[in-house]
Amino acid sequence: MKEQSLNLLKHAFKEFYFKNDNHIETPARIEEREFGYMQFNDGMVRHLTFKSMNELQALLLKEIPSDVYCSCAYYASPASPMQEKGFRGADLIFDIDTKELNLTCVKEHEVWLCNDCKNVMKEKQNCTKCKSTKVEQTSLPCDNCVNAGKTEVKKLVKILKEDLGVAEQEIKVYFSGNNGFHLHVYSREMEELDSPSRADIADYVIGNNLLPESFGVRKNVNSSVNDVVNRFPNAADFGWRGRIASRLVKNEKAKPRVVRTILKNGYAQFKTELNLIAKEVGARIDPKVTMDVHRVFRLQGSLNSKSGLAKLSCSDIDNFDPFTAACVLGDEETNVHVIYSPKFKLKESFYGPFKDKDIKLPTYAAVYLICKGLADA
Amino acid sequence: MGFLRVIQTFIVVDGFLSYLSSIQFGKGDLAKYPFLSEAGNYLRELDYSLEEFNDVSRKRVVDRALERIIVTLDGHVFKQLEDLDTEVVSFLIALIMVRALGMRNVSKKYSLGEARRAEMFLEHDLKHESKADVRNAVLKRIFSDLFALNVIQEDGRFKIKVSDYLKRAAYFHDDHWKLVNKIVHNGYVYLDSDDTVRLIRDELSMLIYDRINRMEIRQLPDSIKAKVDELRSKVAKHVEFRGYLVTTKYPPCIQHILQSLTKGENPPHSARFLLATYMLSIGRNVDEVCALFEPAPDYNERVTRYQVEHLSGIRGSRTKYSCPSCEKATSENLCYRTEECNGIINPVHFGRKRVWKNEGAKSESS
Repeated sequence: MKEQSLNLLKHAFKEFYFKNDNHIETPARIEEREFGYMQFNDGMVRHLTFKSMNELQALLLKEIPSDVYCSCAYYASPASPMQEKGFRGADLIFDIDTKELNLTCVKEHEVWLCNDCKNVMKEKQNCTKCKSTKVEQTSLPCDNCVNAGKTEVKKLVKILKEDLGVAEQEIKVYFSGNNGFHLHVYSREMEELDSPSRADIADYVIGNNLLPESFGVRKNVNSSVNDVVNRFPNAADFGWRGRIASRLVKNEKAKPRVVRTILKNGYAQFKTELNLIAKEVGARIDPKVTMDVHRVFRLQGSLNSKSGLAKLSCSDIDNFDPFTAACVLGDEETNVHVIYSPKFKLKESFYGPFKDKDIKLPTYAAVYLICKGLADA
Repeated sequence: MGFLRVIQTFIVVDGFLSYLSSIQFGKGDLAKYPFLSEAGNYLRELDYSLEEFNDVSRKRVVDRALERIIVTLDGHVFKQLEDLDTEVVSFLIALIMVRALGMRNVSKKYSLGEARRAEMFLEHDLKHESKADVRNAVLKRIFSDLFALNVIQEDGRFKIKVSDYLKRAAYFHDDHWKLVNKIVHNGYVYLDSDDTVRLIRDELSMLIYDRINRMEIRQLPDSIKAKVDELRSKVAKHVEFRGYLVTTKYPPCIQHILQSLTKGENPPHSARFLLATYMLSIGRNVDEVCALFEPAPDYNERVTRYQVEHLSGIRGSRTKYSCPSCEKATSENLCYRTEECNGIINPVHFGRKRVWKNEGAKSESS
């Protein structure tokens, strides 16, 4: 990133942290958390500890980090090297990334940017100008992306509450500040779980590894239709049995017909069908995030350097508009050169499309495009 | 005198637990679970001394102790069930024999065998026992008191908290145990009696193994010493392990990542981690591992070297990172399992086969 662009970002981030010293949420049991931050155009600093938010605030103004992170884990000695920290437990966390949802709208607002010459291409390929192989995707998510993310959040919350018994007040949902949502579960019971247990929970909410046997269909066994009908779940059954049954069986009378078809098509095809249903019914989270107890996770209320938007709590998910609520930087006008941008909306205003254009934009919009690699100061 | 000392060790372990519990087993039921503190208390009341086992009249129980071990080491469950005296005493003498033998793998295998025997009785008691007080005693004294696992009976099924389930089942490798294949509702997992019992088998095995290791044995009577010698000669043939046969072929998950690199794609971070830790685990050096990443479009020599050195333990925390398990690779969508992967739980085990002394040397080419 060019020096001038960096300075603009640093100035905007510093001003935000200076004027909004209450914007970052104080994590519970702050003294047991490990903190880390990313520097603009530089590496990650980890293993920090703060006794209070004042100490953290001082660091934000001094270092002006591009991103700030906090461990989901609680440690006896958070500043020590990883193997000496003394793990005491961790919040259960989930990451929903709309980039991973294979949305058709992405084609309309993604571009591929050459890291060397900034050439913009509509498709993934080696740079058509300089032949560089260092090509990266950048995308300006739209309302459709946000709504798809919200759908996944709602599916996840339902599974957590109905199946896993997590109480409403133990769940907090956040817009991640860029392409998705984060969900934190603060529960004493879940806090104790180790990484393999969390991997199992991740697989549960996704619906990974569903076995036909769990629905009464057995491999290499010639079961009678009646036998399988008796073992086959009803829509009212708990958990995944009920979820799958409600997709396959419209009513009790239809069950023998459904079972006959399943038995006719065979075990392997039913397994494939279960996987397809799970993909629709399960919550599409990133399992790596949930299973990693030593991860430092974006701090609630901090800015995301991939967009300049903030990670923000959204308790009323249906009415939450991240492009307004999380767009928290100043609106003074600033000059930028936009390499390319599709039309986008921030704070209720539309901008673009732009191509190779010098233009005055409010700081939040200028920062947004610079963070996406699509503009320079 | 010696026996009393052994019995005391046996009782102290969870004597306080029996004090906490007012629910007691009858003698017939207790015979099935000789690892319980009540069984130890009963034994103390009998007031045996070890020397008594030199007497011909006690030969039967010493023979039975050896039989318990041999049947178990042969991979079977010792199914016979006699009176409380015979069961409790033969169990304890078997523990003494295994302790005196001093072979870790025999102690492990015997502990697991006794746990499987208890599992058989527990399954029966939970499934077929009509008396509610016996079922309650099993749930209270064994599941709750010994292993802090609260099991609730509901409509002929058993339910336990999700966290209690995961602490145990997350380490079982069969998909049958994945939470997604269980009935889960309102924070509880619903299980049948067999699965409920299977959950604690490993802990029960560990409890017996711990008990063997904690025994202090100073002098054994000749009758037991002779049986230990007999046991030593019998187990020798079980444990001579020569080594592994290893193929040079990479597992499919690794082959897939290598192919994706060759095609000029950018594999995700998790795939790079798997590839690097796998290669380091099978003995490749840092230079060789770094070279594998060169075709990646985002390849940066300095960053790659830094990260591979970190994983190898040369840099940073000095921790050498292990290759992720097959289960983790599956969760991360990196698994491309084939039939050749059957029976392995980590990609580094791929193509590795144990060879025992009596097996002929086979060569394997790939």
